[in-house]
Amino acid sequence: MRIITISRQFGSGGRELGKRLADRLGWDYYDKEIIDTLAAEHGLDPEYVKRALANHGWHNVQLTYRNSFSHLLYDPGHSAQLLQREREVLRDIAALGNDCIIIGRDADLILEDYHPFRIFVCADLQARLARCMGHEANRPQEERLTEKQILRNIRRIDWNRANTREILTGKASGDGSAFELTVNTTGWDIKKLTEALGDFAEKWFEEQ
Amino acid sequence: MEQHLDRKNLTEGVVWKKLLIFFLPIAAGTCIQQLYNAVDGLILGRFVGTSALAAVGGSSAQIINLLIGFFVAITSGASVVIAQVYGANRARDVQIAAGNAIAVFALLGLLLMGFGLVLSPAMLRLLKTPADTLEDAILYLRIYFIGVPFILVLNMESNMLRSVGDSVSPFLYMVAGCVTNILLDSLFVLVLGWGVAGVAVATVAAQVLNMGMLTWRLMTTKESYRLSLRELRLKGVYLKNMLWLGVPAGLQSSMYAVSNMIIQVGVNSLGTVVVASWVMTGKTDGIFWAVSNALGAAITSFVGQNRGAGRDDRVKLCVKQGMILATVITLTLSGIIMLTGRPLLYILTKDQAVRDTTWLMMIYFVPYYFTWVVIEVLSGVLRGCGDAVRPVIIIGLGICLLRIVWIVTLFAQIHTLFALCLCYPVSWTLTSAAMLVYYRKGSWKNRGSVIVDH
Repeated sequence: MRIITISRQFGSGGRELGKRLADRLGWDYYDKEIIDTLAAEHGLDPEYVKRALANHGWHNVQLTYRNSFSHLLYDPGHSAQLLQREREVLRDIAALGNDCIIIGRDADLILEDYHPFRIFVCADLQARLARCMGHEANRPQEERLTEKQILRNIRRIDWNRANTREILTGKASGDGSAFELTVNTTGWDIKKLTEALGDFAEKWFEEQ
Repeated sequence: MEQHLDRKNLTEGVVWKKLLIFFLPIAAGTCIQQLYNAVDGLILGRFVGTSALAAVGGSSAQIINLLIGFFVAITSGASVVIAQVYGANRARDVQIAAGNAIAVFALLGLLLMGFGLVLSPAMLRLLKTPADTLEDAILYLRIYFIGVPFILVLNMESNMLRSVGDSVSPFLYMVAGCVTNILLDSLFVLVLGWGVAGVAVATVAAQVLNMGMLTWRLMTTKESYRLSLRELRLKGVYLKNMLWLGVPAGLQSSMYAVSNMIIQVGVNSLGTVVVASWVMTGKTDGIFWAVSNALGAAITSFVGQNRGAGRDDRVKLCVKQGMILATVITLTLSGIIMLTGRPLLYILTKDQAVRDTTWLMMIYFVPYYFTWVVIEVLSGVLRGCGDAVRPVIIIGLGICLLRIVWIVTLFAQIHTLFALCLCYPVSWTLTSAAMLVYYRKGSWKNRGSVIVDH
């Protein structure tokens, strides 16, 4: 079985790249399917699951008044339980034994025993911003985010992802050997890039 | 654990019933602690005396809330780290992260202990603690600080267990700790006559026991998070992330503690009887806050799920029914406290002056609890919608800052108990209004929206 994992900067086009690559290779593709599985399991809504998984730390600590110290002031609630289940779902996917591409979710670290082909997708900040703005245009007017809000989101999400990787690897981030391939999508036509990457990945798997 | 998750599905069913089902267990848990608090107050107030009650529950309690509360809140960050590593299924890394967390908080606890032992007198004087309670307060606080390493480690350990899915054993150990504390209180104070020192030693002993049970649980478990003494050491990457994730929670908790401290200075300036009465009022007051916060937590979860599911109709229902439910519960509670307050005070203390002053304070506070309802409900709703920062800012300004300003300006001019107590209903009402305006404006709706990744 062959697994490709795609880690990416927010808004770099990693998701589109992964989808096209899966189509080209004819492999299974897992992205929001993972969240949907979790949500269906527990009768929860996917959007809620997504947010609970992104919810770190102090949001779970209640505002209290004359609080004393031994209160149950921290309730990891859904976040922690869903996180554990998310990791199990990833292992279940690998256990199916089909060739597959998995987007994000730190699958490269969770499934390292399977020796996946690990890709990191990044892009220049301007390109990422433009990509996000493009998607925002498809949303209803009143829900649309401003450029400033998007930039703040980009920074926050990247920062969270970097921290999670640090926690999971136990090492400061920026280890170049953590990926078989790092690709900057700026200026690439994603279709052409997919062809190049597909060939690269197939060669890599032949060498293994 | 699976059942636990399913039972929490709040996107279907009658809104207020779901809120109640969610709210009751949380409220029950916190009420047990409040009960223990009340017994603690009974032993001090009735069998040791007014100045002892003032020494233990006055400035000392505020110092404890600020310093220890800050670090205890940081343990929440450490549990996020451990939950992450645990989920990655790397047994050895979990042990390293857990060992790191416990080492960090043991070390911080030792530093804080040293700090407290040396600076307790200076801090108590800074808060203008009444002279006749100062000696007892110093003794109490110093003994208490000896227990700080245990307190930090036990909070870390119980958060750790909760974040890997075991919330039952920390709760049971806590109950065991409370019971032990009361038994030892009785032994040291009633039988041996140790007074304030007895209460302090009983508290520390109960905490040592609580930590002992948690440590034993962690060291004997067969799960990957088993604690191993060899792994008790610091590791930079974990340490950094634990602090990043935990310090905001610590700051949030300090916000209240600082304003309570300033208020305590005002209370202290009114003399020992007022301080002791303040502590007494705090005991009944605590019950209301336990209930109210539990309701807020229920609303946050409810709104979180329904908003995620796009059920904005149910979110609206939750605001309406939550508001009614909270008002009914609050008014009932106010009524019960007002009806049982006086007879209860006869049980709690023999000091007529303390009884009268406490009753006066209750009249100033208790009937106005309902003015807090809007804050609790709407901040719960906003947090559920993903807007966690603004409620903190509104409450920080409207409750904490306003009270500090009130104390240093108005109360400094009109130096009476009434002027002091008035800042509570005033700050609740104004902050409720501010929260309502912010909620109605609706600009928060976008802040919580999840941006789509591409």
